[in-house]
This record gives sequence, C-alpha cells and structure tokens, in this order.
Amino acid sequence: MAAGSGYYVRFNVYHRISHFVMMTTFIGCTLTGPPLKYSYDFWAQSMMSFWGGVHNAGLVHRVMAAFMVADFAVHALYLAYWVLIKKARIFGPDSIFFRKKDLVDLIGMVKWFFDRGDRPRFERFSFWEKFDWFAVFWGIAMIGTSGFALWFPTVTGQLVSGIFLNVARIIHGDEAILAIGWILFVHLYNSHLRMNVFPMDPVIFTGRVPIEHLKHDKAAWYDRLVREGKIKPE
Amino acid sequence: MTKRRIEAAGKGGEMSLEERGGGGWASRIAVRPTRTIVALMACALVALFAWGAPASAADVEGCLICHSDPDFTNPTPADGEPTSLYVDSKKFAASVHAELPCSSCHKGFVNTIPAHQQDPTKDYKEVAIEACETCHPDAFAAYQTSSHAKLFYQDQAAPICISCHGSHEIRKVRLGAESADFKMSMARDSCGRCHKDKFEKASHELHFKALSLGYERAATCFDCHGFHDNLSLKSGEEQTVEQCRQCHPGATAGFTYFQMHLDPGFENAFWGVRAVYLFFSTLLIVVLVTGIAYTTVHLQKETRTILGVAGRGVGRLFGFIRALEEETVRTHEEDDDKAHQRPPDATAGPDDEHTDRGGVA
Repeated sequence: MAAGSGYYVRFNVYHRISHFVMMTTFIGCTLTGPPLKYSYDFWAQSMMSFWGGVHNAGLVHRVMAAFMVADFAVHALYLAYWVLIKKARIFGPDSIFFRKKDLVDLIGMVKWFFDRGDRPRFERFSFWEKFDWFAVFWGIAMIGTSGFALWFPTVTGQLVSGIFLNVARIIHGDEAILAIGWILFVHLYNSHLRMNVFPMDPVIFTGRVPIEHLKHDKAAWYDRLVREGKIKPE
Repeated sequence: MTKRRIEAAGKGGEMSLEERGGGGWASRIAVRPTRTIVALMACALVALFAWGAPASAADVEGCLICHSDPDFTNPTPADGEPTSLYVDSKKFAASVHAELPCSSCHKGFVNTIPAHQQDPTKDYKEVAIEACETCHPDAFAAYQTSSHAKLFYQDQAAPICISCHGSHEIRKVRLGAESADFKMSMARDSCGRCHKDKFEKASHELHFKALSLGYERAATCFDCHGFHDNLSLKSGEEQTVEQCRQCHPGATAGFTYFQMHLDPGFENAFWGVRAVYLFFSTLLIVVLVTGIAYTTVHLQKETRTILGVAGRGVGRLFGFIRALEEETVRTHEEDDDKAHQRPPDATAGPDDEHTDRGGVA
C-alpha cells in the first residue's frame, strides 16, 4: 500500500471523484441558489444576470442538484457494499462513523487549544472529517428532500399538502445557508488552512499524504499502519 | 407621431445649419449680428412649440391648449379645494390611448369653454367606468362581478378602472407577454397601493422573488386573482385549483394549501410552519456559531504556536496579545529606520509645503 517516496495513498480514485463531484455541484448550487433567496440584495441581480436570468440559473441549479444526489446515491451503495458484503466494522478505527473516541478527541482538541494537554492522537478519520461527512447526509436529507418538493410542487401537493411547499422553502434556504457557512468558515479552515497543511491540503485530490505529515496529524493511525506493516517507519 | 415630429424638427435645424455653409456662417454672424439673432430666436420659437405640444397630434379638439398647464385648476371648486385639471401631455402621448381624441372617453363634455358641462346627475367616477365600458365590455363585465365593483356601488372611494390602470398614462401591454417589470409594478403600484400588507407578504415568496429578478413567467397578483374579477381565493376550492392550473397543470386541491401571503416571521402561519421555521433558524445559528467558535480557538492556538508565545493557560492569551503588539511595534520601528535612511531632499516636509502655498497666495 505504501506509495513510495514517503507518501501513503489515503483516498482511492472513487473517494477523489466522489469528493470532486460533491465539491463542484455544491459550488454550482451555491452560485445559483442564493441570488433567488436574497433577490432584494444589491448583488442578486448581477449574479442572476451572470447565469442569463432566473430560468437558466434554475436549470443549472437543478442539474447540479441531480448530480449531487446521484453522487450521494453512489456513496450510499458504496457504504452498503462495505457494511453488508465486506462486513466492515462500523465502529472500527477505519470507519467514518462516529464512535466514543471522537468525543474524547474533541475534548482533547479543545484542551490542546488552551495548552491543557497534548494534541489527540487521531485515527484514520478525525472527528471534524467525520462531522463533514455526516453533514452531507444531513444536508442531502434536508436540502435534497425539500429541493425535490419544490422542484415538483404539484406532486408535493398531491402526496401531502401545499403547505409543505412553504415548509420546504424554509428548510431549503436555512439549511443551504448553514451548509455554505459551514463549508466557508469551518471545513475550509479545518481541512485546508491549518498551519501544517496551509494553504491547502491536496490529499483529497491526489489521494496521497506525506508519511511525515501523517505521523504528526494522525498519530494513532500512523502507529497502526506501521504495526500492520503497511508503511515503513520514518 | 409626436416623436416623429420632434425628430423632423431636429433634422430641419441641422439641415439649415449645413445650408449656410461649413466655415462661412461664423463670419456672417460677425458681419450681420442682428439678423442672425433674429433667425436664431425664430428657430428657438419653432423648437419651443414643437416640444411644448407633443400630444397635439391626437388633440384634435385642442383640449391640451389649457390642460397641459401644470398649474391649471378648477376655477370654481365645489368643495373649496381646487382640483388639478392638468394632463401630463408627455405621459398621454406615450399611453396606449394617445391616438384617441379626449372626447372618446370624456363623454358628455361640450366644447364650449368654460362651460364644459357633463350630466350633473352623475358622479365623474360613474362617467369614467362607463367610458371604459364602451371599448372594453368584457373587462367591464368581469369587473362588475368583482368585489371591487360591489364595493364601488356602495362607496365610491372603492377602486374603479382608473384606480389601477391610471387614466391618461395607461401603458401598452401585450396580454400574456407582459414584462417582469410591468408585472412587478402592477403588483406594487396598483394592487399594492391598497393591499400593501398582502403585497409585502407575497413579495417574500419565490414567485415575486423570481419576478423581481426579471423572470416574467413568474406569477404576479393578477395571474392568480384574475385581471378584473379579482377573485378571493381560498385553499381547497375548485376555483383556486383552476387558477393554479394555469401555470401548474397538475395542481390538485391539496396543492392549493400552499400559502402565498405569509409574513417573513411566519407569525400568521399554521403553527407547524412557524415551529419548523424556529427550529431551523435556531439550528442554523447554533451550529454556525459553534463551528466558527471552534475554528477561532483553533486559529488562536496556531497563531500562538507560530509566534512562539510562552506562558500557561489563560496567561498565554495575554502573552499572545502582547506578542502581537511587540510584533507591530517592531515592524513600525523597521519602517521608521527605512524612512530615516532616505536622503533628506527626497521628501518635501510639511514646512516646505506651507512656504510653497504661501508663495502662490
């Protein structure tokens, strides 16, 4: 598994493509949705004009959303494959699901921020990576469902009631702002602007992480990889 | 018509200048100043008349001779307050009725100034709606079924045709292909003038948001409530379903429970909607504030590490601020050193500036 010359392949090709699709469709939706929500703001009209009007922006928004949901669906199949067929341990160290250690790590991390302890020794996925992953589930469930409800309003009216269109718009807008805010202020910082990866961490695009970096950033995982003989100790 | 006249007048002016000859006219002014001034004044007069009576093409009856004066009021006001009798001739010229003579709407007026008497048994508003009926019987019939009309025959302050459409400035509209701007201004300036509350609530909704960004297919007031019959639409009713179906062919009774006129805080909404709104707004704030707070404390740790600030616990925070201050002071001192190394004549001191200015004054 060692990629040679001090690198370890952390993300396979599927992981990289999946993140790339999520990223681009997210940006696509972010650039087309808010000008409608904030139609009264000074920037809304020019942003809409950039896309050639509300109709085109809506089209781009829907195409992007469809790809995002497709990406999510493939990921659900991928998870099902690992859990059901490969019988992977859901709460094992290689899993991206939350487990007890994440809470311990979070407390340890906050202690470290105030010099009350050492930096936690993270396993394969740190708790903020797990949270970002989980947030996609929450986001797709909330924004995706409400988005489809608004996309096909008459179906919504037939299946439930028209009042759910009012509800869907509240959820769609609020959750979208939450997602955009989270990506801008939290995800980008924690994944790319941290001191030891600044100005960006290319691992999600190249899949390769320097073993030297791994040793510091994911100490528990590094130890385990050395123990399992997957990488040579530096 | 009027526009063409003005253009023609403009062209005429240019031509006469050319006829006088490119370089020669300047010397002629010098030779015969009086004649030139008289000619120029004549031109100015012609131009003045061309601009002053732009709608006169349709004004075959000459009404605008008096009524284009902005200060023209009713000389014998009935209730003490003089009524303005001014007609903005430019707006009228741009209106869809520009080609019609005044008397086609203002029926019963006789052209004997100053009598101008109409049927004294009728209010001018009744005359006005009857005038519209002559050419627009269908719209008038629809209006007659509306709540506006029912109210009008009890209280004449209720809206009639001109309350929404305006009188002399009625614009040209191609039905079914209205511009987003027109639809927006009808909602805001016509319906919204009385139904301000309803308009403001609806303007928080996606139809109006899209419309305000230029999406002309988005529904405005009259697309749902009808042009002249101004339907009062209730959720679940057959008529409401039909109105929705104009744009949403699959609309069912359930669909019509969508609420178009909710206030931004959803206080007038079904409690479930307000609960969802409060829950997701709270979630938005709590999650973002927590995330940003976490990022901020992470950032201070890293900044301290970069600056190499010593100390323990909270004491480090103060050390961090001190270190930043020291860093700032150090940078400023370096800048000062650089400034002092510059040759003295390269920069003009403030005293030199004063002397310079004094010299000029």
